[in-house]
This record gives sequence, C-alpha cells and structure tokens, in this order.
Amino acid sequence: MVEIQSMVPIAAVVDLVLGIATLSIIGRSQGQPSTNRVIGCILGWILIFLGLSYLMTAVLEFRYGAQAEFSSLDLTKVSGTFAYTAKNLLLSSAVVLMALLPFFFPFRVVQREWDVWFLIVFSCSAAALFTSLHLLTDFRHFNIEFFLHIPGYMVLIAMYLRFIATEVRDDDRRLRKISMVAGLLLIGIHGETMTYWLSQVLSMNDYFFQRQSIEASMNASYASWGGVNMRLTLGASAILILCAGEAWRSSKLGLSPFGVLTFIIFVIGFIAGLADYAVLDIVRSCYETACEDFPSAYSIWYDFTSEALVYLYTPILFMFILLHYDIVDTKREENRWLIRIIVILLLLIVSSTILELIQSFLPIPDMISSAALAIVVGIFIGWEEKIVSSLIEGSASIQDTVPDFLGEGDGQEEFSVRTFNIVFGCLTAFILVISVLFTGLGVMGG
Amino acid sequence: MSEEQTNRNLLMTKESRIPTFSAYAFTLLLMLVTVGDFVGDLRITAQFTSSTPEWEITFETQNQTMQTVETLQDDETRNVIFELSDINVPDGFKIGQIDVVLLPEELDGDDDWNQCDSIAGDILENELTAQWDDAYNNLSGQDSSCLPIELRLRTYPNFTGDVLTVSAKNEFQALEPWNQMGWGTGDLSIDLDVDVNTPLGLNTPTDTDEEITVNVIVTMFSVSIEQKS
Repeated sequence: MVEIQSMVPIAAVVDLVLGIATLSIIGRSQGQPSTNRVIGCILGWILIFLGLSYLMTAVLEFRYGAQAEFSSLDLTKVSGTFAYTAKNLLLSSAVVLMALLPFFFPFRVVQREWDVWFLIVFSCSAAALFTSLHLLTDFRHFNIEFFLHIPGYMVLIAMYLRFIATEVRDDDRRLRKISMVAGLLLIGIHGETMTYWLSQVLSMNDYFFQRQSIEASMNASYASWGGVNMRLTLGASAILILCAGEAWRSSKLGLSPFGVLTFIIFVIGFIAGLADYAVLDIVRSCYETACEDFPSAYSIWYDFTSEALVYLYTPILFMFILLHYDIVDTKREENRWLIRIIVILLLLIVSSTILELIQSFLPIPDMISSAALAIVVGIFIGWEEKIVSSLIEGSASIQDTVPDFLGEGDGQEEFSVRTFNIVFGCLTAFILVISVLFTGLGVMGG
Repeated sequence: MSEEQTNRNLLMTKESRIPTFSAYAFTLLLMLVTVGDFVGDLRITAQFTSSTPEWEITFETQNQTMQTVETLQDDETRNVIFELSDINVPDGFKIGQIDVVLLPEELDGDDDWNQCDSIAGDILENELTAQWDDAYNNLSGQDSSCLPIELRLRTYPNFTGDVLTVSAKNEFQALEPWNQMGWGTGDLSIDLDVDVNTPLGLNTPTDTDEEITVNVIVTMFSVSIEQKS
C-alpha cells in the first residue's frame, strides 16, 4: 500500500497543460468564429488561474507541510507567505472568470459588441477590488467572490430547463447539446459542492465549516461564511434541478450519458450525506471536546469523490467541452497532433493517479499496479486514434448545431486573442508582484 | 413579444417559465433555511476561536488505608507488598497519591535509654503505574529517634489536590489532563530495614527486634469544574 498523497500537484500540471495548450490552439485558429475564440480564451485562462493556484497550494503543502483535511490548509503554518497570498488571489480571479463564463457560453447572452470588453474590464476591476479587499483585511472576507456565481447560475439553470423543455416538446434532439453543455458547465463550476447536496439540504455543512475554521484558525467574517453557504447552496440546488430535469427527460426520451453522469453525482451526494451524518460527532468534537480524526474510510471516500471531481475530472470535463463543442479548431490537421497529445496526456495522468489512489487502500503490490498502468497505457496508445476521433467526431459548435438561435452576425465581429492574453497575462503578473510585495512588507498574516 | 421571438428566447419559454421560477424559488428557500444555521455557527465559532475562558478545577478527595505490622530482627530486611487492587475506588475517582507511614514501636521521639532502633523504609520502583521520576516523591526514609517515617509516591500526573485555574477552549479540554486512566494500578512494594540498638549496661532492657507498623494511605480524587466569570 502507498500513503495517500495530495492530488493538488497533479491538478496543477493537468490544468496548466490544458490551459496553455488551449490558448496556443486558439491563437492559431484564426478562422474560428470570434465567439469560440472568446470562450476558448476564457476557459484557457480559468484553467491557467486554477493551475497556478494549485501550484501554490502544492508549494504550501510540500514546503510548509500545511496540508489539512478536506483540501484545506493549516493557516497557522502558511498565513502571510507569498504562496498563500498568491494562491488565494489567483483562485479569486478564476472564480470571477467562472462567474462570467455562462454569459458567453453556450450563448453570448448579452449579444452586444461590447460584451467582451465588459468581460475584460469587469475581470480586471474585480481582481483589483478583491485583491485590495483581501490584502487589507488579511483574507477575512475570502470566499465573498462566490456571490458572483448567482447571475451565472440563474442563466445556466434557465437555459438548461428552457432547452430540455423545448427538446421534449418538439422532439428536437439538436437542443440536447445545449441543455447538456449548460449542465456540464454547472458541474464544472459547482461539481464539488454538488457532492455535498444532502448535507446542505439537511443543513449539516455549517458544522464542517465550523470544524475547518477551528482547526485552521480561520477568522472568517459573515461575508466569507455567506459566500461559502452560497456556493454550497448553489451546488446542492443545481444537482437536484439537474437530476429532476434528467429524470423527466429520461422518462420521455430515454436515458442519456449525461443523465447517467448526473445520477451518479446525485447518488454520490446522497451517500456522502449519510456518511457526513455518521461522522457528525467527530465533526463536532473540535467544538465540544477536542478534535478527533476522521476514520480512514471516510477520508478515502472524500478523496475518490469530491476531491477527485475537483482536481481530476473537472479538467477532463473542460477538455471535453473544448473538443466536443468545437471551441478549438479540431478539424485542422496542424491542431490534431497537439489535441492528441493533450487527450492522451490527461487521460494517462488521471488514470495513473486513480491507480495510486486505489493502491492507497487496497494492498496491491507495486508489481501489479505497474502492470495495470502498463495495460492502461497500452489501451490508450492502441486506441489513441479511436479515443481522439470519438471525442472530435460528432463535435459541432453551437453555431453549427443551433444556428436559428443566434442573431445575425453573431460571432463575426473582430476579437483579438492577443489583447485578451496580454490583459490576463498582466493580471497574473499583477497578482504575483503584489503577493511578493505584500509578503515582503510583512503586513500579511498578522 | 411575438411567438417566434418567445421561441427563440435563450433563457425562457412559456413551458420553461414555471420550472425555472420553481427552481429559483427552491434555491432561495434552501439558502434561507441554511443561512440561519451558518450565521448562528459563525457567531459561536468566532467566540470560540477568539477567547479562551478560564476554568476552576476543584478536587474532592477520599482516603483509604491499608495497614500491616511487621516484626523484624536485628539487621533484617523485609519486603512488604500491598496490592492496590484491594482498594475500592469509587466511581469517578482515580488514585492520585500514595502515602506510606512507618511507625516504630516507641513513638515518643525521646531516646532516653539510647534504645531507639534505626529503621529504614524504601518504596521500590516496580510495575506500579505512577510518577516514579516526580521530584515531589519521597521514596526513601530513615530514622533512629523513634519518629515516624513518611514516604510518598505521586501516582497521577501533577496531582496535588489543590484548586487549579486553567485556560482551555471548553470544559472537555480543561478536564482532559484529569481524565487519564490506568494510573495507580499494580502492587506497592516496600522494603523495611531494622538495625536494633541495644544500650550497654546492666540495668538496661535488652532488645533484639523491632515491631514496625506500616500504614499505606491511598488518596483518591474526583474533579469538578466551573467556568470563572
């Protein structure tokens, strides 16, 4: 057996590789509609911000040994360090971009020429605002940015229900692609909190956050707790709405792979809720008695579900969206080799991590796990063409799938990928420089 | 708005209006239900993490005594064992300390005839679970002036029996040091040693042995706690 280790470094590599590759392909796809290039840039920068944030988290875990339960950090060890400051600010920027994503994908909801400029200005302003707020208050209000998810959540829920209702009414299977991507985006953004849906419905998550606050010596504000509760509520509501929608659709049109995915997350959340209830005494022990450790079975369950969903499956989900919705130009031959490399790389990294996780609780000798990994590699290499083709074939952009839902001239306006990348590159540099500066000034973590 | 426009609306149609608003209402309801708990817990947690209250711990003690009388010849060393399992420890009590008093035959403290025997006692370190290295202990004693010898062994860590004031986050953590089990189990082993003094002279009484009374006083305690205002 091997010791369970953090998945954060894997997530950092996966997100950074996928983010950089996406921006690279988008930069070379001049023939793509501007909407696709905007979406590609947003997804690419979300992945880069998340990847850099995970990189900083990995530094904190390995250099300072600050890894705590539920992917959190022991603030007594890392508060005031550069990596901690940068991690939070990068995550904050990723949240801002994720909050804006539903206004551009699957449709540009605002449908005005200035919407991309609005995105750029809003992202920069929000980054400046949150950076100042967090640095001046020593991250007391961190998580407040989750309130920004509300408008995007409302858009995605409305879009999901609108297209699923019309699909069933008109038996128009094209529309499935829209409701599915709305659902996938909800999972991509709220996936982790979806696995806590039963705990949120039973109002148990506050105890877990209380434990985390006591253990990590967090001095959170009402705004911070409100943000956390908002995030948990949106995740719980989203999975219940998706589940209801998919159950209804399945009864009318039959089961779909996305329906299966939704039901799996629903069941995971249900089991997790029961498990949470079972360990409630341990959760409360930090407040009532002295902190007790969770049973190892509970930790393994968490590693395989919520943590794996955030760190391993979310990048794959974004990769699926990028390829299946033709956001990057999958038809061009010169992009194909890069796409092939990314797909195989991501699948291999994730498979090997899952194998390591399995090895952490099953007494499988190293020889057998190596052989299993070799089998997985063999399958991926042998079927590489088929795997990539199955992802790319049948891919079609939103414009090609439902052109009747787009206004005239949609996606034809000029969009400079270079400007977008320069702005967000400067934003990243700003975050890193200000983190260095504030850490050097010694004003953080006091 | 024409029907065509409604059909092309990206966010809502006639059919999806009710489910969408129901979904929003459900989300709002869930938010309202959970926010109360979150705010309540935030207040409690903030209080919990920001302050460390003081607690007053008082000890109620009970003693039980075991006794044996041993007669030792001159220059004899004898080992006496007391089984602490014979002690009836009441519920909620733990053994805090063991005092041993060795009483010689003559206890006047006045060596008129220069006949006070020299006696010595040692508590021997063995499997008995106790604080053997504690500076408070007095494991050896000796006397030749007809005075009792007092020995003591602390069994429970840091037990004195005095009222304590401690800082702790909650009652459990304040009492945690006083909830340990297993101290004071085993046998108490005491070595007794006698060197009889027989004064020279015709009319002086002859003395070849010494009767030693060994009293073992086991102090047990239970704790009660109160938060200081």
